[in-house]
Amino acid sequence: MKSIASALLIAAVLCGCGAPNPGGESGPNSPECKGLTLEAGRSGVLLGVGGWSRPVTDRAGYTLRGRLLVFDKPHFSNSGMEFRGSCPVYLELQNLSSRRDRDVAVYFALADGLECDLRDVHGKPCRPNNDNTALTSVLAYSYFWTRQYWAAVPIDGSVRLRAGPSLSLSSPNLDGLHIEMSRGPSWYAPEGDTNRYFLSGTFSPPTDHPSPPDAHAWQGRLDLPAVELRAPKP
Amino acid sequence: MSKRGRITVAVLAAILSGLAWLLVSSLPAREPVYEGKPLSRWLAGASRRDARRAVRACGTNAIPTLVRMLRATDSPLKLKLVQLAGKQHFIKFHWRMAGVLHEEAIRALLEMGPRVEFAMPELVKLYDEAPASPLFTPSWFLKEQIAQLFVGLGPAAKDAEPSLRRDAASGTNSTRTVLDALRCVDGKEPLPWEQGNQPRFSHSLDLVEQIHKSLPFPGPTTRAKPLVPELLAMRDKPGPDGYWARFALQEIDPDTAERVLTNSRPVVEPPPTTTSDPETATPVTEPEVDAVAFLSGPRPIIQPPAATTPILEAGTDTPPLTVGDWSEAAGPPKRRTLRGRLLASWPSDRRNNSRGGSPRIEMELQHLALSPDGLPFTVYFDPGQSLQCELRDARGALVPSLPASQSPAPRSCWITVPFDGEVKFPLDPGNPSSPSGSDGLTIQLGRRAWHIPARDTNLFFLSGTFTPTTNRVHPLGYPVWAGTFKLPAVAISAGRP
Repeated sequence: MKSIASALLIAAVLCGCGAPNPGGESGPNSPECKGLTLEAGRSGVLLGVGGWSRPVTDRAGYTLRGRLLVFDKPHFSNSGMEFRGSCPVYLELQNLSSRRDRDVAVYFALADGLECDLRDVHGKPCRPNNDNTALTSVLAYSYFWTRQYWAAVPIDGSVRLRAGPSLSLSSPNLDGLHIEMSRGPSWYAPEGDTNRYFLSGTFSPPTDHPSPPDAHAWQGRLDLPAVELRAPKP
Repeated sequence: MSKRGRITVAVLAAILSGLAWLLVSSLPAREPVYEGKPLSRWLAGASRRDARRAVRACGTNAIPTLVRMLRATDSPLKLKLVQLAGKQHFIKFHWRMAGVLHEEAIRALLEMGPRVEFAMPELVKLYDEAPASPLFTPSWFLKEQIAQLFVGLGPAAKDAEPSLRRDAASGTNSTRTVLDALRCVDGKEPLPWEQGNQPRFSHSLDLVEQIHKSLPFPGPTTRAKPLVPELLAMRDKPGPDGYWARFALQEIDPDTAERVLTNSRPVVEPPPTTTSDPETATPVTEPEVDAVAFLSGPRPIIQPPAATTPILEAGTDTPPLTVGDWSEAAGPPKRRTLRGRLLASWPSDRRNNSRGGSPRIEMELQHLALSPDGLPFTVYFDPGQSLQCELRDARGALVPSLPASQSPAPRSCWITVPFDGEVKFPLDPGNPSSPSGSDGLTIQLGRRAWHIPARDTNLFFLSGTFTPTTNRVHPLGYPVWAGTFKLPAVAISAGRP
């Protein structure tokens, strides 16, 4: 009896039962994430939401906090060919400033400011498949690589910024968990991989751009808590 | 020598030949080296700034390497091997796929600036050699990317005009990028300074317009070089003029910008003395920070004083929320680009005192366009004009509205909808007090307000029509979205949060 109870306990731990939801009330099933999908045709299921980072106030008194969101891979069909993209990763920033005179702005440029890190359940960093974008990717382009602009976070508001290439494709279809950061690391866990993975990151927007008019250029570093992820089942 | 001996020698020779071939083929091709690392290593690295530095240091010596990268293809055998390798997890292979090499090469060519002209013959040849192909195939991407280079080069890419004209006429490859490139290289739309006029900008909008014409994508271009003297003269102007001058200078002539823009360091702003909303603002106590150390060293991160800053900690104070459905996407004809939805949440004090107060009404906007410029949309939100709301009861009857109170109304402002992303912002002024002597629910949006008595526990439904003001130009020149969409109803109850 004791051994059965132990086995059930171990199984429960291995299955993640009882593990705290990293997003707390802000998980994928929370009301605020209801219907939060991408464009029709690129729609994806929200795989995971990280907890909010600690709010950071810069010297001028403007406060931001952030978190990561990861969606399932979008699916494309064109000219008889089927494509799968990588899992879209979003950085969400929330303006918690007590100063209410101006919006907060961050200069958002792909591969400049957001550093992400994937770890296994033991906290060991997963080795990125950097040299080939995705291990089995045949066609992988960050077509919209020109993205860089001032993103304004409204007073008491928030923004979600696409943190990877917007149109990254692979053909033939890739199943599994494929995370691709633009010009940064890329990870792939094949379909059926039962391991749990944790994507975390830091965000410190570049400061070598002139400040925008009518908004405060926020400066600081956010430590983004981990999003728990699993490769889809076959 | 016996027959067996001859076979052994032949097998050994074949093995040695194979090993020699593998050795030779695995040796990296000759390429420029910067700070001890070959150029391709810099390009494959994660830092765009480092890659830019390496490309500029290598100069035209980088062109053969970049052209070789653009010529890379993935053989069917390689693709098969990649697929097979992906099915096992014991050995990690590091493949360099052609698509990745193409992208790295194109980015590097963009960073080269005017010297990319020396690569033109090869680029035109590559463009011609890429066959007409369906969208999203490697060949299609390569053609698109090279065409984008031609856009940036403008008349300097004149040699590409016949190829572009052929593709534009064929229909098969007549993409927007090809048409843009054709327009830019044929010189029929010359920029003012290309007609012998000295560039002069009377105001920032003029400058923004010219910058957008000359900088279709980030990166230095030959066409924009004549702007540099004017930009230098404008760089210290206050407001948007100076901002855009500094921005453009960094894009067009980074070397000069690095030399003259000494103010690109973080600007230290004075701590606030007053705020626009004294009811909700809380003074922030800032630790003493040495300004010199702040400017010259790593920036200290100042954590907010926990007791004085009103912060909604995730998981502990997340307000209850009701969310409306997304609207239909709206925008220019044939290009639905934006959609929105309403959200209602309750401030934390509402749960402590369930009578009186106001829910927070927010709007979320989602960017749906995959435009090659990668820019956000902007909308100018005027609370009194951009949003027309109505409140209905569960039977669909309109709830009469009242003029809004004099409490601080939300200001008109620009809202930036990030490319392929979302923005959420409050529509109500905060927590207006309920009408005198009453409790219940007050919803105040723009110039109108609705009041629901606390005893009324029915559900109410708030919906609206969003039409942002379009007669303004965004101060940074970002695209201004024009259109109208109907926001589906979000449910609100006065009886409980």
